[in-house]
Order: sequence, then C-alpha cells, then structure tokens
Amino acid sequence: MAQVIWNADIDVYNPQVIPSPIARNVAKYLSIPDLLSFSKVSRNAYKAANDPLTWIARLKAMELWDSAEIPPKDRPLKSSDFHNLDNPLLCLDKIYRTSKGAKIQVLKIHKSLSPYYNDIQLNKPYDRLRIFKDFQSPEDQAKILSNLLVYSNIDFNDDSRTLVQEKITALFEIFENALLRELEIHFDLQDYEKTRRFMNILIDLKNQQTLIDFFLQKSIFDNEESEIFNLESFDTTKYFILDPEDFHQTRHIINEEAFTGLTQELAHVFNEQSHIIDLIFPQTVPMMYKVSEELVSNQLAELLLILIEGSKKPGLYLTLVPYLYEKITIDFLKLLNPSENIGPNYNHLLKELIDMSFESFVVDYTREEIQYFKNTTNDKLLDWKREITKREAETTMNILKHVKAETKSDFLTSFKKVFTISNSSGSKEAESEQQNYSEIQAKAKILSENIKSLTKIFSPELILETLNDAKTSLHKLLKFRDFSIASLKNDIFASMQDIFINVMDTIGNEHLKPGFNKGLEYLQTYNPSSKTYSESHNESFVEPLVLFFELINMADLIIQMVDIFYKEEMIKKNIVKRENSILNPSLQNKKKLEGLVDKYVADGLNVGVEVLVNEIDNVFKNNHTNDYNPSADTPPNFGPTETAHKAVQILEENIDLLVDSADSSIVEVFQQEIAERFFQVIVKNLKKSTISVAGATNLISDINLYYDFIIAHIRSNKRLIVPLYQALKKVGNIYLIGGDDAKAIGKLVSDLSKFNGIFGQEEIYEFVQRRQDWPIIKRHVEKVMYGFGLGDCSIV
Amino acid sequence: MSAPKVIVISSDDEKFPVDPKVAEKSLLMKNMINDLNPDGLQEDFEIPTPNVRANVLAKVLEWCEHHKNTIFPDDDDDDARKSAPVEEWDKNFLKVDQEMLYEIMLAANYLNIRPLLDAGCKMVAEMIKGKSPEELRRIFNIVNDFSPEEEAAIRRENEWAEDR
Repeated sequence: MAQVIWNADIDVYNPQVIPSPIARNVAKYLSIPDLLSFSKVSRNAYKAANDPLTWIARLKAMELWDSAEIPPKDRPLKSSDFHNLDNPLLCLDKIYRTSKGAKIQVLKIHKSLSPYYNDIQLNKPYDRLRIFKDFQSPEDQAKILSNLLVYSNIDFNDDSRTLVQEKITALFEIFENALLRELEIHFDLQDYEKTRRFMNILIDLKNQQTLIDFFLQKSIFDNEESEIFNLESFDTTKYFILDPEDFHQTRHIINEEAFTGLTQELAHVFNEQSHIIDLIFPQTVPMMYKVSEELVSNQLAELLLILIEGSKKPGLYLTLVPYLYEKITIDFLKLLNPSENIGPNYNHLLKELIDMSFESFVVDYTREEIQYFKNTTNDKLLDWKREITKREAETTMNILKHVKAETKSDFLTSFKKVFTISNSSGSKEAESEQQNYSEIQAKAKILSENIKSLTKIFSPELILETLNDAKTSLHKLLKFRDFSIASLKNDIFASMQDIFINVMDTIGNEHLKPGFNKGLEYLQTYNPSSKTYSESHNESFVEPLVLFFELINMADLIIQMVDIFYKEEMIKKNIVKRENSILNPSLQNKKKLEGLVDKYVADGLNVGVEVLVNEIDNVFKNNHTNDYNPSADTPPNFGPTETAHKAVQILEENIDLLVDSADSSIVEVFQQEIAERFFQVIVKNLKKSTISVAGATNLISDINLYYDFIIAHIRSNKRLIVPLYQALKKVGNIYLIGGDDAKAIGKLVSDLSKFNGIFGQEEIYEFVQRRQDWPIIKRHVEKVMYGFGLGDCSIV
Repeated sequence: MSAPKVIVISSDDEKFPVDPKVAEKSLLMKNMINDLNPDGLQEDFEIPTPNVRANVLAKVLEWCEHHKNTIFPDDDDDDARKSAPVEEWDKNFLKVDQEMLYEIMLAANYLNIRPLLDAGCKMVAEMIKGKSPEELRRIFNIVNDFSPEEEAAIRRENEWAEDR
C-alpha cells in the first residue's frame, strides 16, 4: 500500500502561541476595536493586526482604496495631509493609497465616525440621535448618514452592521422624503436657488431617478399652460387656409404664419424648461435630455401626427411633410437657447430625437412623393401624346370630309380622277379640285399636313415642366438629406435616383421614341417624285428633311436640358455619389437616353440621304441620255450640261442643311455620305451613257463642276472623298482622245487601271465601252490593252 | 474489490479510511493524491497527519464528509468569502470547547481546508468581540510572549483611537 512519509521534525504548530496564518485569518473578520484588543494578545497577533494588508482590506471594504489618491512622490506624507480624516463629514473625502498609511487612515476614520456609529445603535428616538444634534444643515446630515453607511461596511459583526444599515436606510427614506417635500415647496414657489440646494443634497444621496421623475411630472405631465401639452383639443384648421390667390376658393395653402407661431411656442417651451433645469440641476443629471426625449417622442410626435393627418384633407400632405420637417429641424432648432445641462451637443441630440419621431412619417411620405411624381409626369406626357393623336385625327378628318362620299365606295372612279387630275390640270373639275380630293390625294395631303406639324411632336416646354416637377420633388426630398437614421437616409437618396431614372425613362419611352418613330415614318413614306406631291403641293422636297432635322434639334435641346438638370441637380447637390461610375444608375439611364437620340439621328440621316440621292438620281434619269453624244446638227455646247447644273443645285441646297444645326460630327458624316453616294450615282449614270468625242468636253466640264463642288463643300475627310472625284476626272480623259488614236486610248486605259484602286480594270473597261465609236475601235484598243485583239484569235 | 480509499492517519496512529472525494476537501491531501497517483487512485493510499490528534481529525473529516458535495466560493474571491455568513450547520458543528475549536482551525490551516478555516475564524472573531486581551489569552490558551516594555508600548500606541 502506498503511503506518505512525513518528516516528524517539522514543528507545524506550537499550541502556546497563535500561529501567524490563523492570527492573520482571524484578523480579517475583526471590527476595529476588537482588532486593537487582539493586537495586544501576543506577538503573532500583534503582527497580524499590524499587517498593512489587514488595513488595506478595511479601505477596500469601504470602497475607498481603488479611488484613493496616489501620495505625492517628492515628499513624505505629513500628519497635516490627513487633516480631513479628523472631521466626521470629510473623513471619507480624501484617502491616500499607501500601505504604510493604511492603518492610521482607517483608525482616524474610525475615531471620527465610531461615536456616531455607536450612538445610532442605541435604542433612542431619531430626533435625539447625535447625528441630528451635532449636524443641523440638511447637507451635513445627508453627508454624515452617507459616511456612516460606508463605515458600516467594516463592521464585520453581522448583528450590529445589519442593525445600523437598516436604521440608516430608514433614516434616509424619512430624510429624503422631507427633502423632496422641501424641494417641491420651493420649486412651486419658483425659488430655484433653494430648489437647487435640496436638489444637490438629493443627488448626493443618489436620488437622480426620483428627481428626474419629479421634474418630468411637474413640468410636462402636470403642465397645462402650453397648447402642445394639451393635444386633445388641438385644432389644425388654422394651419391650412384657403389660398387667397385662388379664384375658386378651393385650393388650400399652408399658413406659414401659424406654423412659425407653433415653432416659436415649441421653442419657448424648450427654452423655458432648459432655463429652469440649468437653474436647479447640475450637469451630472441628464435632465434636459430626458425632458427633450419626453417632449419630442411624445408631445411632438403626437403633434406631428395630428398636423400630418390634418394636412391630408386640404390636399397638402406632400407639401406639409417636408415643410414641417424643415421647420422643426432648422427653424425650431435655431430658436433654442443653449442648454448648460446638455452642453454643446444639444442641437445634435435633439435633431436625432426629432428624426426618430419623424421616421415613420418620412417613410410614408417618400413613397407617396415618388408615386405622385411618377403619376403626374406620366399623365402629362400621355396627355401630350393624346393631343398629338387627336390633332392628327382632326386633320385627317378635315381632309377626308372633302373626299366625296361616292369616291369612297368606288375605287375605280377615284383612280380615274387621279389620272385625270395629274394629266390634265385645268380641266373642268378644276374649281372643285381644291375642295374635293380623291382618297389617294387625301392620304398624300394628310401626310403632308402631318409632316408640317412634325415640329409639334416634341415639346421642350413640356420636358422643362417635367424636369421642374422633378426638381420640386427632389428639393422636397433633399430636405431630409441629413436625416440621422442612416438606413432611411439611404432610402431617400435611392428614391431621388429613382425619380431621375423615372424622368429619363418617361422622356425616352413616352416622348422621344414615339415622336421619332412618327417622324421617321413620315419621312420614309414621303416620296418627292410622286406626281401627287410635286403638283398638288408646292413644298420643296427637302422640307420634310429640314423638319426632321428640326426634330433632331429639339431632341438635342431636350437632351441638353436633361444634361444640365443632371449636372445641376444630381451632381452638384450630391444626390449621385460616384459621378462617373458605371454603377451609377442615374448616369446609365441618362446615357441610354442620349443613345436613343443618337440612334434616331442616324436613322433619320439615312432616310434623308436616301431621299436626296433618289432626287439626284431622278434628275439624271429624266434628262436626255444623249447629253454627251450630241447629234451632229446640234450646235457645239461648251461647259457643263444642264443636268449637271441641276444636280449640283440640288446638292448645293441640301449639303449644308445641317451646318450649324447639328453636331459637327453629324454634319461630317452626312456630307461624306452624300459625297460618296453622289459619286456612285455619277458612275452609275456614266455607265449608261454613250459618249462621243464631241460630248466628252461636256462630260469633263460636268466632272469638273462636281469636283469643284465637292472640294468647296466637303470640309473634312477630304482624304477619303477627293480621290473619288480625281479618279472620275481621269476617266473623263478616255473619251477625249480621238478614235483614230486607239493606241493612246488603250495605253490610257491600261495606265488608269494601274493608277489607283478606285476603279478596277473591269470597271475601266466598262467605261471605255461607253465610247460612241467603241465598236469601231474595240479591236485596236484591246490589242493595246491585252497585246492582241479578240479578232486576232482564230481556231486552228 | 471496492473503490480504493484514502487512509488518513492521526498523530496517535489511528487510521481513518475515507472516500478520495472526502479527503480532497483538503487541498493538501488533494495535491498529494494527484501528485503521487497521476493516473488516478488504483489502491488504498495512506496519508499520515503527524500533528493532528485522532479526535480532532475525526471532527475535521466529519466536516469534509458533510461538505463533500458543497461548492465553495473561489479561494481568490476574498470578498465573497468574507461576506458569506457562517452556515447554520457549521455553527453547530463548531460549537465545541475553545481548545477544540482552536485545534480544528490549526488542522484546517495545516491541511489547507479554506472554508473550514474561514468558518472557524468567523466563529473566533465572534468570540473575540468586546473582549479584553487578557480574556482572550485565557479563552484561547495563549501565552503572553511580550516583554513588559513591549506590552506598555503597544498599549500606548493605539490608545488615542480607542473609544471605550
């Protein structure tokens, strides 16, 4: 079996003395007088009783040690440093944290307080206690009671300690009630100096909560002076009055005077409370904050509810909420006097409280505001669309009125009429012609009228109005930009973005898109070469183009307005944070809108160019094909042909159409496109003509005319365009060489093919075939070109 | 075979077999058991206490037996220990003659049984209340080991603070 072997020599204890560990342990549980007796029993007892730890434990028990002052380092402590310890009222106020001095400090405290402590244990009426005999002022009495309560913690005798603590607690209660009564009497008498005195005693006795409750009761719950404390009878009617400028006397407006009055009254209440609080409360009691909290989260919140509810009937809800918020968070806060009790954070704390009371109202309001804005904007744009449709319908109606009833049922008749009118103007039906149209004519007329009203499709005024509405809504929402509840603030900013995105969407989808579609539709169906147009209407064929460009200009104006709006409202007012980020939904939507316009501009230009080129094509088609192959009896005619003049004139009229009215880049693209297409028309036409040597001068004059025109009008991208016309000039030379010099022709043709990449060899060959004398010179030329003529080949 | 026991032997060689759980109320014995039997107690284990008489040891072990399941406040938590009033059972248990109480405390100190020592000290403090040094020496059988000069000096030292 295992066992432990002891060293028997160890003298573990000597029953004759009290072993030190036991003495120290016993000392822990002794009251001061017993501790002093104990120290005289034996050496070990003396040592235990004089152990600094024994005394520090007493200071700790009274909770004085941890907060004790560090003794000065430069000098030893003198007895005068412990002077306060001899005074029963002051003995606990200053303690030094020194183990050597722990004993003397505890003994001095004991000496000062034990007479009262012992006295209080005696069975005698309260009013004969020494504490009330020796100390008369309530401050001193409160102090000695508190001190004795602290001192009781080093009475390790359960019975006496419990007795004293119960007695002191009972005394405190009686004493505090007496103090509160005094306090109330002086408060009611508005003797704030005395009130403050009792206040301070009660605060020293740790009655903060009682005092806060007392003040709230007195100043708010029992207050009947101010209207805002008695909201049951609060009447909102005076806050919303009929608009004196409204003729019909139905529209209400906010009575700013009444609200200013209300704000002032509110501020007066706060200032009054703050004034009294600063007179009677020390800063250690957060009284003004408690009062503010109560006033804001109850009285003010209820007032807000009443006012906001009251604003719905006169239709001022959307106006009132931001107005009221601004009134309270700016005007009201400005009217407040500083509060010593809260300190410099007063306005800030109040703002947070107010924001909390406003939170639910603002959530509702934000939602309503956006809904309202979306609805009105949509309505306005839809109204506009309806108006256009109506106007067009009316035009159609007016024109169709003149279509004879019978023609409607008899298509053949109307067809015939078209035929007659177009062929024999000034016939017997001429008088009625102005009034009565055939169906086809009517359609043309309707189209023409609609085209004339193209400029009325877009309404920059309407867009301006929409943007202004957006601005109004944004400005209302912006009043909440400093809202102190972060999540709601984020929601508000998101709502503002929402409004902008909605504006972009609505302008794009409801205004620009349908407008452009309509314009393009007219432009595409418009056919200037149709007889019905050219004869029954005298508009120049370019008119629709000009109108369409005006449309583009207007769209451009709208885009610019949107851009200014974006910069002024969204960027400058910091509604949009990441200005250039692709994550910025506002910017994305704005770009989308701009892209939409660009697309329509490009579509419109295409159609425009198409129309123009068709017109030029027609000029060539309709003119005599033998411009360049004059018959021998025609007198020689030098210089450009009439056809060329006409084509150039049309170009002249239209090529600068866009200058000053569209972006320079658009102008360039437009002109370049025209130049290229014109070149193609010339080539096409050339390939159809027959050119004699005599006509060659005319051709070269024509080409020179085109060339000069292009040089004069094409401002940019000359590098791409000019070579086309230079090549044309060279081609002209093919026809100038006499037919007898087939060798020269062949050589020129070969050189030309090598010359540049504008025309391929096949094309040059096509050109040379257009020579009037081609059948004759073919063999010789081919021989030069290919080294032999086709006729040289024979089958062997 | 039943679970191994701890056999505590008094100074007069009386053997007290107890459950390890009971013996471990003494921190001294607990440490001994754990240090010498790192793998747990496999067989009976003898611990001699050469300065504790059998009748004192019997009392101490009775206390340990009674409190084997009690959880006491942490040793380091001075405040909790100090403010805990002496339990009624402990009070009755410690209602013994002064000499016995004194010896139990010495044993508790030596065997390192803090709760028992505390209870004892509180009882002693209770007894000390209001007694003169002479009375105390008599009650607790303590020899006055001061020289007359020392005694006089000590009396003078704190005289000013005494209020009786």
